[in-house]
Formats: sequence, C-alpha cells, structure tokens
Amino acid sequence: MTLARLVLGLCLLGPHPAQDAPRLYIIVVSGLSGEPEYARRFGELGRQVVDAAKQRWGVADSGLVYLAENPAADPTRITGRATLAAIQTSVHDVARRARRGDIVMIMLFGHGGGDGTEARLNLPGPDLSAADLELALGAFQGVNVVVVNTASGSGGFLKPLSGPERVIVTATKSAMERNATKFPEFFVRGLISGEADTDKDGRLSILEAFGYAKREVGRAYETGNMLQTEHAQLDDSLLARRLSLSLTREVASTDPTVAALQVERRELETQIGVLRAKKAAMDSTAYSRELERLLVKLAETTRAIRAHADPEKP
Amino acid sequence: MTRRSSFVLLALVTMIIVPIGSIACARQQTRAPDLPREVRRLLDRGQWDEAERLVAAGATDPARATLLGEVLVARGRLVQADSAFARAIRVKASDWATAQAGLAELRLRRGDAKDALRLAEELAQSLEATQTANDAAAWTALGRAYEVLGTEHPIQFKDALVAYDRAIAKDSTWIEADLRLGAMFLEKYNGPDARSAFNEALRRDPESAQARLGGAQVAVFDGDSKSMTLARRSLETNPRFAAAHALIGRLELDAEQYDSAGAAARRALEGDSTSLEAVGILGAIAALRADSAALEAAAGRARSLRAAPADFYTDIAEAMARHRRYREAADWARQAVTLDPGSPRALGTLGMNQLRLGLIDSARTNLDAAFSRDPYHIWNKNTLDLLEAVKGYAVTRSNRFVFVADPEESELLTLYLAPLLERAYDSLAVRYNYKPPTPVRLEIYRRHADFSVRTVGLAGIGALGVSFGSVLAMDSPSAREGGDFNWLSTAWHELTHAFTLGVTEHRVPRWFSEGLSVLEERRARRGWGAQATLGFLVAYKAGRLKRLTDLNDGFVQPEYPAQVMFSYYQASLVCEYIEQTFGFAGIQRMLEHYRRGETTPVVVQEALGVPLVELDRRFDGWFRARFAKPIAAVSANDSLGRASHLRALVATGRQLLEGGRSADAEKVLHDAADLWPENGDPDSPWGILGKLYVQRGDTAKAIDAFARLTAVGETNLGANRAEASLRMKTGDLSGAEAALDRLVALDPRDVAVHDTLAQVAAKRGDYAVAIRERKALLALKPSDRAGALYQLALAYAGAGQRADARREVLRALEEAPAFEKAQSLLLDLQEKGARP
Repeated sequence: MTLARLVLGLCLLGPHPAQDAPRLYIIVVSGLSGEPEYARRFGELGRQVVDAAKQRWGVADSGLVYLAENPAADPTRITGRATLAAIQTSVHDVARRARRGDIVMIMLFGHGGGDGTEARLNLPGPDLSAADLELALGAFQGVNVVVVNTASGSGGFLKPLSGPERVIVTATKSAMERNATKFPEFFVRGLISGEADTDKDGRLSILEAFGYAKREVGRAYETGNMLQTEHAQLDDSLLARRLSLSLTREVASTDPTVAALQVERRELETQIGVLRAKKAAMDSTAYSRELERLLVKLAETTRAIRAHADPEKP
Repeated sequence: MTRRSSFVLLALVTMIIVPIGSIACARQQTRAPDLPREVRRLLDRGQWDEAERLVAAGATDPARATLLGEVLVARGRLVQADSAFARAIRVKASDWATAQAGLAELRLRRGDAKDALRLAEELAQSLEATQTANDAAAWTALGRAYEVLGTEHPIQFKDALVAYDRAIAKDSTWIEADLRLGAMFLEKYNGPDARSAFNEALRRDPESAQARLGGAQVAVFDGDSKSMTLARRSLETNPRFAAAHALIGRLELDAEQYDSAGAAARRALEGDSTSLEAVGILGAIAALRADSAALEAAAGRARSLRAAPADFYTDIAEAMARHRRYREAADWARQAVTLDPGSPRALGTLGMNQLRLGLIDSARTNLDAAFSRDPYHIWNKNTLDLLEAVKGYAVTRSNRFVFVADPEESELLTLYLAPLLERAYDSLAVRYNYKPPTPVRLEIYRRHADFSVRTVGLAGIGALGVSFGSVLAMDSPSAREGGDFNWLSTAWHELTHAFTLGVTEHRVPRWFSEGLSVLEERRARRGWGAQATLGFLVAYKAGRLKRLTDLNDGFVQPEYPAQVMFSYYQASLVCEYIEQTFGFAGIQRMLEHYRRGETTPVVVQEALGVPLVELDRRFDGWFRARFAKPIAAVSANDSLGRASHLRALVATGRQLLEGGRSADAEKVLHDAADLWPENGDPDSPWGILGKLYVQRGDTAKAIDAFARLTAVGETNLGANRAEASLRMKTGDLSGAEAALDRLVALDPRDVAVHDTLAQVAAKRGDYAVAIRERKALLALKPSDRAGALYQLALAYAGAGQRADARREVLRALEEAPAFEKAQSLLLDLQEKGARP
C-alpha cells in the first residue's frame, strides 16, 4: 500500500477521508487598476491565485471565478468582467451550490476607500461596497466564508462583514490608509509557497498566511526605511486558525499498519502540543527531556510510515 | 508664577482690544529720535567715550542715571554702574524699570542671587500691579526681570519670552528685545529660534555689533564654518567688543591655537575687564597646557569677579570636553557644582561628561537635577529622554565589550560586532602597545536622531560614529538607507580612537586621531576606509586642501562643508606617509609626545626629527608622486563648469555607449580608467565598463571592472551585488563569499544576502560563516522560524558540531513537530551519537 498523499483544497484542520473533505470555492476579483503598472500587478496576482487554486488546492473549474477589469488580458483564466452585477451573480451562484461546511474564499485586488457600509472597492461601473458584499454574503448558510480585501483603504470592510463562520482580512486598518498596498503580494506568496507554513505540518491556515504577510509587509517598510502606511487586520482569528489550505495533505491510509502508525503520530503530536502548553509551569530540564523523547518518537514514527509506503526509501 | 503668566496674558488681551491706540503709539515712538537710543547705538559701536559724554551733558537729569549705568556696564565699571542704577531707582526716574533690571542683573553677575531675585521680584510685581509696562523699554525690563527670576523658578523664562515678544510688537525699531531673546534661546540650546531672533535684530540694524555676534554664536552652535568670519564682522562695528573677542578666543581654543586664543581673551579683557568668559578662556588654556601658575592666576581673577565663579569652572569643563578630555571635563564640572550646587549649567555639563565616560546612573542624576532647575534646556531634556529610551535597550557582553542596542536588532548586530571588535582590540593593542580600559561600551542607535542627541544633544548631525574613549556610539545600519555607510568599518574606526585617545591621555589632536582611524580602517580590510575622490583631487589642485601645518582646522574650522571629509582622507594619507617613511615607531613616538602635551610642531620635530614645515613639504612631494596621473587629469576649476580631462573622457564614453558604439566607448573608458585606476567614484569608468561587459556577456571582464570598484569603495552596494552575482555564475564561490560578506557590512537587514552567503559558505565548507549567517537570519525574525532553525542545524551538522546541530533541530521541531526534514535530521544525528 502506498502512502496516499493528495493535493486537496481548503479544509478544516485534522484528518479527513477524501470523500468527506469540504469543497473549496474561490472568487477572485481584480478591480480598476488606474495605471498600467497596477493592471500588471493585479493581473499577476490573479494569475497566481487561479493557478494555485487549480494546481495546488484542487479547486474544480466550476468552483473558480476570476473577474477582472479587462477579461481580454488573460482570456484563459478570466471568467468575466469585474462589475458589481457580475460579482453579485457569482456569489449568488456559488452560494446556491455550496454545502454546509464548504469554504468560499473571495479575494479582492485593487484600490478602495471609505468607511463602514460606504467602504468600497473601485470597479468598472458601480463600485463594490461593503454593504453590497454583506448583502450578497447573506446567501451563505453554514458555509465558511473567507473575504480577503487586499486593496488600499480596505480597512472599512472589516466591521460590516465580520460575523459567524466568516474570516475577514483587510490590508489596511482603515480607509485612511490610502496608499497602494504591499500586502497582496506577500499574502499570495504566503498562500502559494511553503514559507508561511510555520508549523511545517503541510497545512497552511489562513491565520498563518495572514501572519506571514503582515510580518513581511512590516519588514519591507522597515528595511526600506519607509513609514509604514498599511496595517493589515483579521477577524476572527480562531476560525482563521482552523481553516487551512493543504500544501501536501496526507489522507488516512487503508493499510491497517500505516493507519495505526498515523494514529500513533497524531497522538504524539497531541502529546507534544499538551507538553508545550505546560512549558512555562515545568522544570526546564524535565520539559526538554520529555520534549526530546516525544520528538524522537515522532520522527521514528514518521520514518516508519515513510518506509512502509516506499520500502526503497528509508 | 501663574499670576505673572496671567498678567502677561491679560496685557496681551488688552493689546488686542485696543489695536488702534497701540499702532498710534508705535508710530509716535518710531518717529521720535531719543537720547537712550543714541546712547545704546554708540555703546553697540564701542564708542563709549561719546556715549558717556552724551549722557554726562545732562547729568542733572535723573533719567540719565540709567543710561550712565549702561555705559558703565559696557566699560566693565560695575561698581559705579551699580550706583548709577541705584540712583535712578531712588529718584524714580522715568526709566527706573530698566535701571532696576540692570541692577538685578549686576547683582546676579556678582553672585548676590538673593538681592538680584528681590530686585527682579519687586520690579515684576510693580509692573504687574500697575500694568505700566506700556513701551518697548518697559517690556524689555520686565523680560529681563523674569529672566533673573527664572534662575530660581524656570517657568518664568516663558514669561520673559512673552515680555520680549511684547516689546518687539510695541516698537518695530527696538532691537534690544530681539538680542535678549536670541541670547536666551542660545542659553537654552535652541539654535533655530536664536537664529530667527538675531536675524530679526540684524534686519532692523544691519550694523549692530551685538546682532552680528549673535549670528556668529548661532554659527558656532550649528558648527558652521563661517563663525569666525561672523565674529570678526562684529568687531568691524565694535573693535572693543569683549564678547566678540571672547568668542574668537573660544574658536581659537577649539582649533588648538592656544596663543591666538590667549591673545583674543586678553583683548576681550581690555574691552571689559569684568568678562568672566574671557577669564574662562585663559583658565581653559592654562588647564589644557597644565600651566598651574596661569591657572591659579585665572582662577584668582575669576574669584575677584564672582564670589563663587561656577561658570569659570564650567567654561574650563566645556573646553576640556571639546578637546575630548572627558574625565578632566567631569572633574572641572564637579568643581563648578561644588561652588554652586544649583547651577543647571554646571550640573548639565557634569552629567553630560559622566555620560561620555559611561557613568550612566550618575549622569542621569545630575542631568535630572539640571533639568529640574532649567526644564527649557533642550540638550539636557533630549538627553534625559534618550536615557529613558535606552533603558529598554538590550545589553550584550563579550570578552572586552558591552554592546547596548535596540533589542529588535541587538542580536543581529552583535553577531558581527563582537568578534570583529575583539579581533580589532587584539590587533590594535599590539600595534599601539596599549590597551584601553575595558569594558569598552558601544552604543548603537537605531534612530539617527538619538545618536545625534547622544553626541551633540540635538538631532541632525551628519556623523556616523563618535568615540569618547572607552565609550563609543554610532548609528545602527537601520538608522540610514542600506548602503549609506559601512557600519563595520565605522565601528573599527571608532575603536581606533579609543586607542589613540587613551594612549595620549586624550591629548591627541583631532587630525592625527582621525587620520590614524581611517588608516586603520584601510589596513583592516580590503576596500575599507576613505579613498581619494575626484572632488578631493580637484580641491588639491585648486589649493583648497589644508596644509599639514593647519590640518586640524580642516576638522574644527572647515572653510567649506566638504573640507571635513577631505581632511579625513588627507590626514590618513599623512599618517600613511609617516608610517612608510619613519616606520610605525614614528607614529608611536608622536603619540607619546602628544601625551606629554606638546604641540604638533614640537611633536613632529621631536618624534620624527624634521620641522613640521619640512614634513609638510615632503608629504606634498609624496602625494604628488602618488597621484601624479589623476592630478594631471583633473582641472582645478572642474566644479566651476569646466570639466576635467578625466571627466570629459567618461562623458564621451557614455555618449558613445548611448550611440551604440560600444567598442569605441570601451576604448575611451579604458583611457579614463588608465588615468586613475583607483577611481572609485560613483562616476568611475569602471562602473560603466562593468555594465558594458555584462551586456556583452564577457563575465571575466565584468568581474574585473566591478572588483576594481569594490577594492576602493567601501559603500558601493551596486558593484558588490554585481560582483557577487557574477562570481557565483562562474563558480568562484570564494570571491562570491567575499563580495556577499561586504554586502552584509553595508546592509545587514537584507535577508536574501544572508541566505545566499550561508549557502555559498556551506558549499565551500566554510561552516563558520554559514553558521553565522544562519544565526543572522534567525535574528532577523523570519516568518519561517522553524525552517531557519533547521538550516542552522544543518550548518552545525556540516561543521561537525553535532551537539549544536541536535540542539537547534530540537528547537525547530519544538516549533514545528511535523517538520519532516527536521525529523530526518534529528534521527540522523541520533544515529551518529550527537548529544546536546
């Protein structure tokens, strides 16, 4: 029996048999660019997300919408023009198809501004306001919705959209942060590379991607000796920690030996988590000794799983 | 205090309510020429006899007693001045307020603070009660009274400020209030506002000796090279102006021209025999020369002028500090504090010098005391704010160093600084046969403004580092744009000062200390230290460099801003020449003679056996021989629109290149490079050639061109990047590693450089560097911390340090237990028997 390693979509943390995996829908909206340089940037970001959705996260074509300012710029990927009506229609369509437990990620690129329900993303024709989006999102019931607004002045989207079963990410803390943002590049890089997977478990949570982007944005401003003009925010962090993309997701094996080892490994991971939580209260030597014991055991278990999956490779 | 402030505010409101009357009043005053104005004008011009004659002509007029008092003050006849003022007050002269202010100031000068405060209090209360301060002179008198009261209750300095402002508003021709405002701002270390006030006075009276002096004092504050010229301009109006002579004396003193300084101080005393400032200069000269008889004479004279002349000792302390003799500065300041424990100036000077000695707690105590007595002194306030900020700094110790840095970057910076400076200490200790007291404290400031405050009390100075002896301070690389400066060579430079200052007991002149520091930079690493620039060669050709005989002036009294940087390089060449010609023993002998307090001509004669002028002549010959080709290729008026041959060749090369004639461009640019192969300027032909060869794909030639730049330019970010990349392309890992290492010295925050350097070093088997770079990446707080720890573990494993590797891989796994690569490494290490 070989080790089943599949590339899956966004999922809730923990082992899931393939057939139970929640489905992932992605809606990418690239708004008005204003300048050729921004058109190029937004187009590149959209391309990266769409490609990763298909190739890494296993999103079906039917679950992928890419609306942009100029569909002719990338006709093989862009599915329509980024108008308010097209966004509303797309959200409504996905809401109709999504099942309880599925995940919908809406990524917005562009320029924006305004506060509260007046917060906007600039589009060809009428802008997308936070109120418009909130109205559209009302169609989702029992579905986890992730909205990532990477636009300048996007901070105003946070409050109106926050709510149960939602993760809202904005590139700025308010509409007053109006300068073009660095956040989208880092967020997308975090999503599609392994750099943001800080616990190296092969699963990238939205919180990890957000944390990575936030740190790297800060670093970019600092090393450039520039005053930081964007401060990303997220709500709610608990759900963001639970929602994750699988980079190389392992599924439960049907081989009883491997399955037993997988169970053992999960138990060891749990024990390590419990031990780490007790670190502050423990004697440091005892902690280190126990941690080392568990880590060695975990490493041996992983090696055993690997050896069983591919006897040629120790 | 509140009452007085309210009084001033009430008066202000009154002014606003009755603007028409005020304007009419001002017009009337502007039109009427009067005796007081004429007398004050004559005093400003130094025409004391005429002024006294004018006043004496109407001696029966009680109002003239005040003016007589002012004439007598100007002449330094303070006892008679005291009587004249007292008479004016007694007879209730119309300008009694001015007389009472003058009398209060006189008493304060004499050290009778109690009586001074009483007089000032009476004056202020009287004017407040009657609200009779209705002309510029009265407002000015009130401002002066507040200034006297401010010595006891500093908040009244604010009232003084408002009173002077009212005086100025009252009379558009009245300059006394501007002059006093300017002086008050300077005393509070507020240069910009002082400049505005003196400029306003000059606008009203361009000939005013006092206003011109104010401008000179501001120039000194700003470190402006025009200070001496401006001070002399003041003397053109009033050749007997004691304060102007005293300022010139101070400037000569700072230039270590002690004879000229003494002569200026004596001229000041001829103008005003009561000038404590001038006596202070004589005292400072004596102290610097260790002339105890002269010192005692000066101290005696100071005591005859003041019962407790704390300012005299503070003047000496400040002069000592300006000569970098900080321990002695603190000792003199302590004497001043002993004489007057409440003097904010003395307390501040003591605190500031304790800070320079690394006595942080004592410094804070004294600066706090100074601040409590004068909260408007900007340097003291800024320094206290800085000390508060530095409380949160991380302190890292190595064998002989203490590093104080922002916790955000302390780990990264000390990773490089600690081994570098330990090595520098060992190497310099052998060379100078001297070991500075340890620990050497290096403070690294993340904000340039903080570094500026640490060094001169204000934000905005251009220096990168400073050495107070065994206390060093410098900009952190993050205080500036990446590539702005080489932070590692800067640290080496400052540490060298600790040796040259220490071995001479802080008597080494600035030019020699700086010259040796730059020379040691060049000796330390390829490419480090200042090098010749086109501007430098042009300045030489134009005769705009200092001769060796007055090279120190290039640092302390530069004639133009760039002369300071030129002087650094020139001084380093002089040191290099001396070492080549007389051996390093010659340098050591010079240092020893400086330690004995000898002047440069004596030092050179005694240590090298040649007169200073002869050394200068020989150095010039050596310099001309060394730079013969580039000197011939530059024009003395290059910067005046006529391009040098060298510059013209480079311009032609560029044009040919832009025109697509790259072969012709290459030839012309090589001609330019042959004229001066060590040209590391931004406009060097080597940079253009390097890019040309990259475009052509001729990697070997491109590497050669960039390497020539990096060999002579310690801050050339672009050339080092290009060289690193090209060398990696050709598989020259050793060369690539060196170039990447130089990049770290320009910007340690560049994650990609550290990562590449770590990889290159590991490939070469240079695991020490790989480990250092992996640690640097960790110190930069990477998003992927577990990955960075794993890479560090790999580097340790490569170096055979299995126990360290195991420790780091366990740290990686603690953060990311599921990290499979780290798990594999852990098991590998386990099998090889590695234990933490």
